[in-house]
Amino acid sequence: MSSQQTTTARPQVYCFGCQHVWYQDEHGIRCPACESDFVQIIETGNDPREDPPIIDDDMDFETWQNQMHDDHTHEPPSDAGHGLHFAPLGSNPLAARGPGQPDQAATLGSLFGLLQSFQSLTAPAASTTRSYDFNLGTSGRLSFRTTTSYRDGSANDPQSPDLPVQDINSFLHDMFAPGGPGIPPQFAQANGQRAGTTRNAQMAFMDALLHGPLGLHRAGYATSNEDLERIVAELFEQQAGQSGAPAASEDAIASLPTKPVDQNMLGDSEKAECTICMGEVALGEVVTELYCHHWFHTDCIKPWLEQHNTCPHCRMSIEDSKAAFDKKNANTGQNNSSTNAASGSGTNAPSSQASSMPRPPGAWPTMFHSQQPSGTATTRPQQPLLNSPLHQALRDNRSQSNTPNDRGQRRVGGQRRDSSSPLDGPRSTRWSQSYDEISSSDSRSRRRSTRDLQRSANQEGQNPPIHNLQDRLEQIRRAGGREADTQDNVNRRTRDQSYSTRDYERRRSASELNEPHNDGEQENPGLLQRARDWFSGHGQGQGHGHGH
Amino acid sequence: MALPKRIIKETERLMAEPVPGISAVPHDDNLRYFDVTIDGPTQSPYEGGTFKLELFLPDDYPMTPPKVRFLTKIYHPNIDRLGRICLDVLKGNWSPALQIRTILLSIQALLGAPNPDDPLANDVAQQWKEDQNTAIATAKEWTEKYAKA
Repeated sequence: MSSQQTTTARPQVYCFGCQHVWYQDEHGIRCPACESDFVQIIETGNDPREDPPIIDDDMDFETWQNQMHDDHTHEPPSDAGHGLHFAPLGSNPLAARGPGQPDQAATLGSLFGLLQSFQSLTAPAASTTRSYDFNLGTSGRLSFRTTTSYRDGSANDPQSPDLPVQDINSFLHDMFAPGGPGIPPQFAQANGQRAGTTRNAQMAFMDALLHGPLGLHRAGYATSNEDLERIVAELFEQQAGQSGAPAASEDAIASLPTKPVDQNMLGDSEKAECTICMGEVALGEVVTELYCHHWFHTDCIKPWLEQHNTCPHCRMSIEDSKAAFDKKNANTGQNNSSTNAASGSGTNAPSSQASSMPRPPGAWPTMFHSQQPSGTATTRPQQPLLNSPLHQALRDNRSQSNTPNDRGQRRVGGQRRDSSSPLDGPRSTRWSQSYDEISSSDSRSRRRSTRDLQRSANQEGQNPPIHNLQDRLEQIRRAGGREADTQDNVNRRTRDQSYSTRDYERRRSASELNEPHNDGEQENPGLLQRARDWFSGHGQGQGHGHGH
Repeated sequence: MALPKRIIKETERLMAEPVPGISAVPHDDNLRYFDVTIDGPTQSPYEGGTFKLELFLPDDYPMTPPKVRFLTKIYHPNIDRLGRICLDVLKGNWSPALQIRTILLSIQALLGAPNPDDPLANDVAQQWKEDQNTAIATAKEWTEKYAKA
């Protein structure tokens, strides 16, 4: 039942709060009696006094949607929560303004109608006129009529008439995309306007939003600019949720290697968690490892990759990291075939370059240790180290340890180690980690420019990078086992809070050590840098939980 | 729908190891909805203010970012008058490895480092660029007026 033509010459306004009625031209749309803005313009056929609102806060989304789809000609979305991500808005407290804003329901209702209309409008049907009569629960009914015209598939319309678009995101995208088709023609026609240019179309859209057949104003709901702004913002937020990196291909996801969690991935703390679900992983549990060496539960990473093709940690695209991995594999394969062969399958055989990429938290047992700069494991140090007194000490240390050697751990060692190295043989976990730190520190020192070192010094606060390997070893030795005792606690305490630092550090490392990939820097939004600046300026106490 | 373990864990850790200057307390009746306060960073125009925000974890969190909004009025080039925040990690740069904690730290950092070149509130950003002193004075004024209840 359309009521657009039946508005009286002097519209009256009805207040839901106190049932007061007045002329709009006298007192506007705010109740002169109770100051409420929960009001409706009285229209013939849509008189709130005849049809008192039923307060039905429990009306659920599906009921609502089913009602609305009753007279739709196209099939309703099969998944209420999918095609139209709107249900959360109603239940989303972010959208709610609390009891102080009773017109929220009306706004939401109108918006919901709008969305539904968009859906139908973007799903072309041959010259149909549809009547909508929505029961909006707390705010009566919203009635309007739309006419959609079937049009020939025009070249600039990406949406085939055969494929109804049931997604507001697509609608918005098509409409506001630069150079896009603008308002779907049928929508503009519904308003008696031609979508000449995109800009005009957008204006037409806004106009229609306000005054069109779906019009919030004409429907009689008091809708402030702020409400409208919020509505549009919500629409765009829905779209924004879809932005970011593109989805990974099914093949790429399916071809990702899986591997059982080994000692090396768990690290000193003997436990690690999947950063997506925050669930602990156990030794031997099979996880998916991306080519950047970050690993996750297979069931956790898959839904992410289906939306975005980047590693949640380092943001490197899985295609890029795979390409780098393959390339490196091809390069090193000739020189180092024995190493690769020793490490078994290709999935478990990161090249030296690949292994210099960031690794997940579990594999970084001492990364944020107060005494030790985070190190990316790279190539093994050369002979001088192996013969150093400290090396001897480390070997002694190893022999004292009763930790049985873990083959998984040797995997990492094996592929980096010179096969003639005297280090072949069982190693304790502790020893292995020290070694990794040593080697990484060493190799990074050699790789870095002075500027980088300065930067690093800033980042590491009172722990400037150690240029001299011997000093570094000395430092580690001095720190001794005491660190290992508190390792777990330190790790756990700093893991979350220092994310941005850690993340930045890692991405920097990734881009620094992997010339072909600049994703880290490229995507670095600058915020992290700003955050760093800020923290280094003011936030010494911020990064480390003092607890309460 | 059952609350995912991740949300429970995050909440537990937020409670057990709160970030100094930040609080996030879930509602009893909706554990996805948090009342948040963030203290204005020192040496920023927001110093001394306590800013209220609301944070909501959507159904598909952590695959999509939390929705966060300032409830306290704030004069900041990246926060509009509805309290919406222009922050990359709340949008395209979201990653499921991020958490409530890290997001709130990022927001606090944003207060300490406004970025008028990537504005959300155009008028504020313009003011910020044209006359930073006045803008900062206004920000202080607003902090005094709205963030010190």
